[in-house]
Amino acid sequence: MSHPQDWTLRQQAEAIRRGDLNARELLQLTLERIAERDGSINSTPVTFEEASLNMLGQAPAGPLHGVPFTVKDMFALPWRAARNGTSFDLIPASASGPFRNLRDAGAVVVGIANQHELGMGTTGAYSAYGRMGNPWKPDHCAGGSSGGSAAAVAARLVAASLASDSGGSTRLPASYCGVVGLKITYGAVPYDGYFGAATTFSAPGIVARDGGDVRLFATSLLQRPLPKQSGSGIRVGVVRDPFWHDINPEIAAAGENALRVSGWHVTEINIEHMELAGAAFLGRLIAEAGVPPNDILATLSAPTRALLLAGMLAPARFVPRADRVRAAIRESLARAFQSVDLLVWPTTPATAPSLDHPWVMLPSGHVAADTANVRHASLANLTGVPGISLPIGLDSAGLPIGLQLLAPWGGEARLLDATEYFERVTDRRFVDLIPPMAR
Amino acid sequence: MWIASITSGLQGVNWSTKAGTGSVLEFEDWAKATYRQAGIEIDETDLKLVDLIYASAIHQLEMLDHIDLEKFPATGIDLRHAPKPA
Repeated sequence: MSHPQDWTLRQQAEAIRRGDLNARELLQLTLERIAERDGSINSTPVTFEEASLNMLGQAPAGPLHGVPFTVKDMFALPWRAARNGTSFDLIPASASGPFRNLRDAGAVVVGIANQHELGMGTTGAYSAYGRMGNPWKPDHCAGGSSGGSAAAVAARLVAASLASDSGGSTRLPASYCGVVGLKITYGAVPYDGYFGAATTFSAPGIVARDGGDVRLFATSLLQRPLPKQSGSGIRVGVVRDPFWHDINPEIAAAGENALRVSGWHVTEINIEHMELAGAAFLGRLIAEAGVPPNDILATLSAPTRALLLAGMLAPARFVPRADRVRAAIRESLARAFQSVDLLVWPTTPATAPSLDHPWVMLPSGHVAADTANVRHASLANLTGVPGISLPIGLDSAGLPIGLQLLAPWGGEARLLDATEYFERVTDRRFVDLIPPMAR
Repeated sequence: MWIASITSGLQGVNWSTKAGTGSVLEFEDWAKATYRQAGIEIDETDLKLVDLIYASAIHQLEMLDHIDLEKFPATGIDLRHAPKPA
């Protein structure tokens, strides 16, 4: 019999429901696998067997009854404060809103998912718990900020992880690690006990192995049904500039191939004012980030410190202008969604760079991975819409490539329909790729 | 979450890279004064990185100075939903 963490989330939940798998045994096997396998990727630095057993003992008979998952360090738990990738208790221990929804579905928290410190990066190269490795190549970035969530799912430590996404932080690491990552619509769940409450960009996210698992988990997180429909015949809008132009050629080829095999109706589309999206995102973000007290600041990496300190100097005059542009881009996006069902472009412009030098080569030149990644991800955070990243293959170095889809506000089901349809028409040959360390 | 005011540290400091009237501070002096007034401890490595990041950020943000305010009216934003039709 195979290890149950090699099963999907759906298989785990169904096996427990039928009595074919003991939830306590699953929890023990999961803890053992984390202990055995996590060393080189550092995705799940904290486990708490007693608290997990207590949670399992009280778990209701919901759709996720007994299935273990990890939680990004941005969410407070009843027995543990949220530390946001630092060594400080930043939000006191409590049952955060997203935690409550998953608890009420019967799921069991098995550990803390590592993350880029303060959520201020897309590489996972900096964290108080140590940097995160990519299961496909442990000396490469797992991504960020939810790198621990994506790495743990890709390495088959857990079948799902609760992540978050303020500038691509769920979708980007999902792409780097070859798993599915969903950013939900802004404000779709209670934000208490969640670091995302401090910004207008953040939404919880879900990382799982395939679209079906994300749908199961998201139904509980969102506490509403996400009815399944055919993902065929979907009209997708391709935004060429800059999302298909300034990217690694291998990623462009994989993206074009994905569109071809999907059979979706592809339309070239422009989003009015997109050239201002980066400035609007930046203008608002630096106003919201703030600077922590000196004792915390002293423990942060030099890049994170500098990002926060530089933001503090930015003139306030940009904030209301950023908001005006933000409103206009939201209207442009709403108009675009009148003619297409989804927007599509590669999730990251390059695959995961090395942890020692997290820069990527693009047609426009050698740039920091963070800069390139946020350009591709931030539209969803600027506007509030949901987005997903799904695996579409490997590059010549054996690193995963992801395709990003965006849907209108509340359109999570449409994203999952498209994802599951794509998995079917490709005979699951991309979504079922397994990193060497998990074979 | 901690929120340090963007502007509180600027009070009492007249910063400009151009010679003119009043006190004139170079970026480094201005940044140091701002952080000192906010009670934030920094070192030289911080300053060098901040200089780089700040210059890059301002270059991008200055695009916002050139928008036509009539084309970009101030509008309420509810990020949970699609914007209401005008």
